[in-house]
Amino acid sequence: MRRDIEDLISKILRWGVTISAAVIALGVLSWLTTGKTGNGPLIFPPGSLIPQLQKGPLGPYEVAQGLWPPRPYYFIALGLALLILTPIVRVATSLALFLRDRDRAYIAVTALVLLVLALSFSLGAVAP
Amino acid sequence: MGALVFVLVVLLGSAVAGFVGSLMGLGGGIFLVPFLTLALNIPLRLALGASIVSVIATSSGAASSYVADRLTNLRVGMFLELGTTSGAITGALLAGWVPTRGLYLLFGLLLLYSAYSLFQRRQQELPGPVTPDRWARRLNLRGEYYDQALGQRVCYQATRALPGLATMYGAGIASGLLGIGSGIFKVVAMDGLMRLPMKVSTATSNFMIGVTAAASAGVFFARGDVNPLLAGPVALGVLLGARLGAQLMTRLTNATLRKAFIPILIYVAVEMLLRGIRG
Repeated sequence: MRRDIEDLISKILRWGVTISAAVIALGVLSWLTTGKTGNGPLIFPPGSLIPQLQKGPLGPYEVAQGLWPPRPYYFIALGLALLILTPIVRVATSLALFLRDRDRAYIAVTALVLLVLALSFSLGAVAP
Repeated sequence: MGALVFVLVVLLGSAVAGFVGSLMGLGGGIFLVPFLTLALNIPLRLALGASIVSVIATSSGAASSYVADRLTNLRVGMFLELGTTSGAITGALLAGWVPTRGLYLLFGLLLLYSAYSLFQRRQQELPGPVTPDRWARRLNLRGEYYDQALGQRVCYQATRALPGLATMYGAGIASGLLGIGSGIFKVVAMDGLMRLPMKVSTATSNFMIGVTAAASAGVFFARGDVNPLLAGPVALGVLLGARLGAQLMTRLTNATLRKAFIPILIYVAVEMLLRGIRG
């Protein structure tokens, strides 16, 4: 791994994190300033600091339709989705670098890892 | 007003989790989940959804600092990820078939043993000369970094590649089966078994946990276990904490980091033993 490339990865990571954090922060701020979440009112049980939080599916369709008109709930979700992409971008960049270095062992290793990840995703495996 | 207080409280707690997590190569879930469920009374499913986000945030938040310092060993990380990810699938498939209480006891005991062996090595700064085994040589499991605390370049060599991989498979099963993070096992295996410097172990573990968490995050989203009103502030807090933790970590010595890791290890071990005993 050459020095300049590692610095590039570091920069990409920093940018990815900054952008997703900005989107999330924007969503949280607009929620707090407007008092609206865009997904129904927040109910605070009497005397409690903590609102009743609901579960709700957030697939690509749900997030997309919540972005115009922009609603804080879905805007934050978009930022979270961007954040989740950062490790994946990192692995993809590593694969590209191994390809360029023609490091056959690690091209295989990285490709296998991506395969197993895709498999686990489709199996719905929970793997923190 | 209530919403603002809620957000600030979550931000603060998450920042602490991210700080400790990035320092130790863990996802922070071991602090965050109890904080959310016990202190804030948030339903477990939502806490777990927020936790998966926090693992990714810890990983990516600390990543740029660790990569810039060349602490993360990409080859070691990717190689070991083969074990963790396949283990995780195995574990998830086994869920429901294997009694979990015994496993919690087993892992609790293993971690206690690791804490003991870590304690014995607590003064050790660098691993010293390591002879790589055949697989470690073939896979080029070595590297070098500039240690800010020592003020010198450190070259290191890993060994016991296949036992390390097997341990990762076991750790992966644990995480897929029990729903726990595997960061702690990664650090213990890399430091204790494969003889990597402690800082390299935690930085590399930090990289790996993000990758695995990203795979399952999509599932959490689809199942509705991620509430942006919770996960958003968690992400922001963790990102901040992880950034600070990473900057601190690069300035610590390996020995200091190892000493700090011991109480964390004991905490997690005790938590697991309790789960194993109480069921």
